[in-house]
Amino acid sequence: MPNPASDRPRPKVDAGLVIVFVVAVAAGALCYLLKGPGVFWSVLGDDLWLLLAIAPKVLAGVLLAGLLTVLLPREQVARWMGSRSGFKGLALASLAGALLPGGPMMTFPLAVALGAAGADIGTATAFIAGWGLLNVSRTLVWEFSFFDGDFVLLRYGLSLLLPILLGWLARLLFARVKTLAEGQGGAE
Amino acid sequence: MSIIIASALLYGAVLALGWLAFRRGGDAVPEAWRIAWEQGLSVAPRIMLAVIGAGFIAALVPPEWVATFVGRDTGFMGLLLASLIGALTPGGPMLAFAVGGAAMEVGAGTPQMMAFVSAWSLYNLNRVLVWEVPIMGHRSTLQRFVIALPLPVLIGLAVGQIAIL
Repeated sequence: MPNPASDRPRPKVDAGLVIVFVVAVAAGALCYLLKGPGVFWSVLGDDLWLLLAIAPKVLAGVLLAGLLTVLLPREQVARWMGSRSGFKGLALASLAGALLPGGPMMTFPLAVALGAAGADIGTATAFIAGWGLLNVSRTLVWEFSFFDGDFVLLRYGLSLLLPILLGWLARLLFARVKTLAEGQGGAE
Repeated sequence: MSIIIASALLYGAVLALGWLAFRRGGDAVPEAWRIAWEQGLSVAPRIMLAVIGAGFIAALVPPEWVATFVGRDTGFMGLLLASLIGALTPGGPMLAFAVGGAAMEVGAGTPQMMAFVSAWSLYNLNRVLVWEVPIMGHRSTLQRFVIALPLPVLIGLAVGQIAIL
């Protein structure tokens, strides 16, 4: 199955995990030493409550990711966007970026697949920006957990058209259709 | 309140898509389970560490620093700084959002945190270097980066205007 995501299975332990681990341990140790055990345990307690509150949403988030991955065939998505360009292609690309679940290990290979299917730098930019700014599952799971609703809605609303705008700008400034193909060799 | 709305939306979507996958039949549902399970295994330790780490960071950083550097009254420089921090914050959405949320509780300004989240979303360096450059090539990456560069500050400025109302 030529699913671009399967080229790079997510490793169990990667740089990201190591970084959060180091940050958590270092911050915890500093907190214990500088602020004392009282503060340390109270912060840890608060965090555990927060984790409990977040857990159901994380569960929904991973279920959603699994279902969307199965239901939205990535190659087909790439074809849709590769076959047409113009404003429609940009809008479709940002919508796809907003809806497709998965981290960078899925998004960037898919962006390359878009290029292989004929999409230009504008479409790829709209797709990546849509994924970055508007990704639905990330916003529902993470952003709503840590920011209040007004903040999230305002940010999301302001960002709504930006992927299209960025894609259009990219197209305007760097309109060379074949540029994307260059990076493909690096994926293997 | 927002957490309830978000959960309702999430589980509504899960039910609707679950129904679609069920109707499709074949191995759609088991395959979705498998992907969800794998992602859960990968994400769970990250979440725990990120939330705990962000909590400790929030306890360590003096609130007056947050207000001084990225508070509501820091204006353009605060937006720039917040965007820079957003670009540099490693560790995935859990850590970034947890840090941003914690900062808001101790005095960070809304426009500044908006810029922080946007910068993290658009061009987090950790993600750019580990994923985007190797996969997309340095040229496409650079082109996208250049175009996205001013956006977080612009979003922050827009939010500042709105928030004045």
